[in-house]
Amino acid sequence: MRKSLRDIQQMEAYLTASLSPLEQTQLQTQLLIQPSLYEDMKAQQLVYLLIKDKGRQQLKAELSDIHDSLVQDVEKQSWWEGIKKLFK
Amino acid sequence: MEIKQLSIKDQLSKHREATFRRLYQEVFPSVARLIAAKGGDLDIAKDIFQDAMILYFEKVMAEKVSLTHSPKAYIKGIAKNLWLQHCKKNRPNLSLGGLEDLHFEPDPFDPSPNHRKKLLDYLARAGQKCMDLLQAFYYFKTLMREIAEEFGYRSERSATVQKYKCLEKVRDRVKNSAHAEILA
Repeated sequence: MRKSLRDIQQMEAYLTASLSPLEQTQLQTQLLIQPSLYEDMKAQQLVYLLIKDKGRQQLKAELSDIHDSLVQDVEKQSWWEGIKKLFK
Repeated sequence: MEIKQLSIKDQLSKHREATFRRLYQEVFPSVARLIAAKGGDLDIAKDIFQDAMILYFEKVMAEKVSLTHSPKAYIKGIAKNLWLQHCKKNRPNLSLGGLEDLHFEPDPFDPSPNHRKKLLDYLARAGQKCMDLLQAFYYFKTLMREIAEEFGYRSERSATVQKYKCLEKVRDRVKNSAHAEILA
C-alpha cells in the first residue's frame, strides 16, 4: 500500500483511539504543528459522518417502503386500523 | 436455520428487510400507543419509530445492545427518548431570543445537517461506487470478504486497499469543496 494510504489508515486508527499511547501522542503533536495534516484529519472525520448520514438516509427509505407496503397490504388492515384508532 | 434463531445482529445484517418488516409489525403499535398517549400525531409516531429503528440498528451493529433487553423494549426506550428530544426542540425558549443577532464564522469541516446533505449529494454524483463501498464497510459492517465479492475485487486484500483509496478520494473531495460553493 502506498504511503498516502498508510497515512489514511493511521489517521483512522488515531480517530478510533486504537493506536498505542505513544503513537497517539506523536500524531497529536504532528497535528498541532502541521496545519495541512490537521485539515486532512478534520476532512476524514467529516467523511465518516457523511457515510453515517448516507446509511441513515438509506435505512429511512427502506423503512418508509416497509411502512407503505404494510399499510397497503389487505391482510394487515386490522393491524393498521388498530394503529390509526389510537390517534382519533 | 430460521431467521429468528439467528442472533439479532445476524438477522439485521443478513436479512435486514425481513427483520425490519417483522419488527415494524411487532413494535410500531406500542410506539404509536406511547406517542398517542403523549399527545403526538400519527406522522410524528411514524417518524420517531423509524428513527428509533435506525438507532437500534446502529447499536446492534456496534454491539452496544445488552442481550437482556428484547428488541421491543429497546426500541420503545429509544422512542421515548426521541419523543422527549422532539418536545424540547419544539418548545419555544424565550431566553435564546437574541441568538439570531450573533454572527459567527461557520467551520467548513463542521457543516450543518443541511450542508452535509448538499455535500452528500455532491459526493454521490462524483463517485457513487466509492461511497457505496465505504457505506457497506463502515455503516453496514459488511465483511471485507463479502465486499470483495459484491464489488468485484479479487481478494479481501485488494478490497481493503480499495477502501483506503476511496477514503482518500472522498476526503480530498471534501477538502476541495470545504471552501468552495458547495458549502456556500
